[in-house]
Amino acid sequence: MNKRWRETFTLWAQSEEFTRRVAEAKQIIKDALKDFQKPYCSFSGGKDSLVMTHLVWRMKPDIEVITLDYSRNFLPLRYLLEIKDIARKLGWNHRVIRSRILEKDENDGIPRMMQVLNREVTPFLLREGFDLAFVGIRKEESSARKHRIEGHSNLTKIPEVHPVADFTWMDIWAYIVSQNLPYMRFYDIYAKVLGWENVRFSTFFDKELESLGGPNLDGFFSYRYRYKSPPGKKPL
Amino acid sequence: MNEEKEYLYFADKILNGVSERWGKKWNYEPLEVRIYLATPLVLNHPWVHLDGVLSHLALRKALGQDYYLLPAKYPISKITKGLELPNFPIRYAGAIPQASISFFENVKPRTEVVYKKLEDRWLGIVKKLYHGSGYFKDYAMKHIYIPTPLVKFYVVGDKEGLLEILSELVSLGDNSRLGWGYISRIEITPINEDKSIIHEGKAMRPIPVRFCKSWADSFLLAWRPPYWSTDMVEECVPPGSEVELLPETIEKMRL
Repeated sequence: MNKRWRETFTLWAQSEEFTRRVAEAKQIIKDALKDFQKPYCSFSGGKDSLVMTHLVWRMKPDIEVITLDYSRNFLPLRYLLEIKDIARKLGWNHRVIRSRILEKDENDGIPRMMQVLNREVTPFLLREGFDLAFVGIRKEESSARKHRIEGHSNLTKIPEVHPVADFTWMDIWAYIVSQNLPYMRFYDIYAKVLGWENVRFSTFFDKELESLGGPNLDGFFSYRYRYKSPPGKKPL
Repeated sequence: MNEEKEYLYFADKILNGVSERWGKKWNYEPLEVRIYLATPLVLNHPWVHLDGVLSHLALRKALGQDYYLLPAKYPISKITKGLELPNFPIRYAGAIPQASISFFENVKPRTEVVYKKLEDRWLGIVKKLYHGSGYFKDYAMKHIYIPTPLVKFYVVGDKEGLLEILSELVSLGDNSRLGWGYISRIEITPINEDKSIIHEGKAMRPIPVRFCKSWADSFLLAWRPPYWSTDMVEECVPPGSEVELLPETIEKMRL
C-alpha cells in the first residue's frame, strides 16, 4: 500500500462514521457471544474476514479461527502459508480444515462449494460442537450477499452472525491500517491495477469466476501458480 | 472419421503444408522485431512468445480451412510431436527456440470490463431465459490491457522469412476480435548481439532448468509452442531471472 492510500485510510479511521460502524460491530459480537456457547470465526484469509476475526478475537481471545483449505487446485500453497502466517503473527487459535472434494476437483468444472460445505465442513463443525459462525461478508459486496444478510439465511445448519455486514471497503482498509494488521501480499499486487475498492480474495484460476474474468487476472498476476506440480512431486 | 484416421489426416496435412513453405535453408542472424500497435494489447499472461505466434501462423497456413476442424479431444501437440518438421525462420539452440518474450514500451497494465450478454428481447420468444447461470449466462469479464504502442522481440532468425510469415499477422494478444492489439506496422532490424535466450546474465524467455547450470528462480512454465498445452510445461527459469546456462547449451547457441 502506498503512502497516499495509507494516509487516506488513517484519516478515514478517525471519522465518526467509521467509529460508529466499529462500535455497532462490537455490539453485534457482544450479543452473539452472550447467547452462544461455542462459536468460531470463519477466516478465509481475505480482508473482510481478517477484520471480522480481529474484532471477535479482541473480545474472546480463545475463539477458534477456522480456515477451509481450498486445495492446491484453487489456492496456491504460498497463499495458504501466508494465511497461516497471519494467524500465527496475531496469536490466533487457528485451524485449517481440508476438503477431499476440492482436492479431487481438477478445476475442469465448477467447484462444488455447497457439496463441500454440506458433506464435509458442516458435519465436521457440528461434530466439534460449534453452535455459531462469525462470517465476514458485507452487504456492499453483492446483492446476493445483501439478501443473505438481510434475510438471515444461513448457508449451512450452523447459524451465522455477520458483524462487518455494514462496513464499506474504506472501513475495512481503515481498520486494517489503523490496527496495523498484516494482510495478504497479493492485495498490493492486484490493487495497483484493480484499485483498493475492487480487489478481492477468492480462489485462483477458478473456472467458476470466468464470467468475471478471474482467470484472466490470475494469469497475469499469479502466473507462477498457473500450473500445479504433478502428484507426488514437491510443489515449486 | 475414427481417431487414427483423423490423426493421420491432420499430420499429413501439417507436414506437407509446412514443408512446402519452410523446407529451405535460412540465413540466421540476431534480429530485433519491432511490432507497432494501433490499439492496446490485451493479455492473460505477462508476455507473448514470438515463436508461439509464428507456429500458430504456420499451422493456419498449412491447414487452411481445416484449421477450424482440428480435434478438440486432444491437443495439437499430440499430432505434431512425432513429426519431423522442417526448420522455421527462427533458429533453435538444441531444443530451445531462439526467440525472446515480448518487451513493452509501457508496462503499466490497466483493466477493462467486457460484457457478454444475450439480447433475448430480439429473439421473439415468450419464455424468459435465465441469464444467471447455464448456457445463456451473462459475463462481465475483466481484461488486463497494456496501452503500449510498441512490442519488441529479440530473435535469431531469417529476416526475409520472418517478414514473410509476419505479414499475415494482423493482431497480437487476446481478444483481437474486440479490437485489441491491432498491428500498424512491423520492422525487423539486424543487431550485433544475440539477446534471444539470455542477455546480461538474465533469462529472456522461459528456459528449462535442465539446460542451466545455476538459476535464481524457477517454477512451472510452458517453454515451447503450443504454449497453452500442458505437455510443454516444465520447471523453467522465468524471464528476467538471473541464470547461467550449461556450456553445451551455450555452444548450441553459437551461429
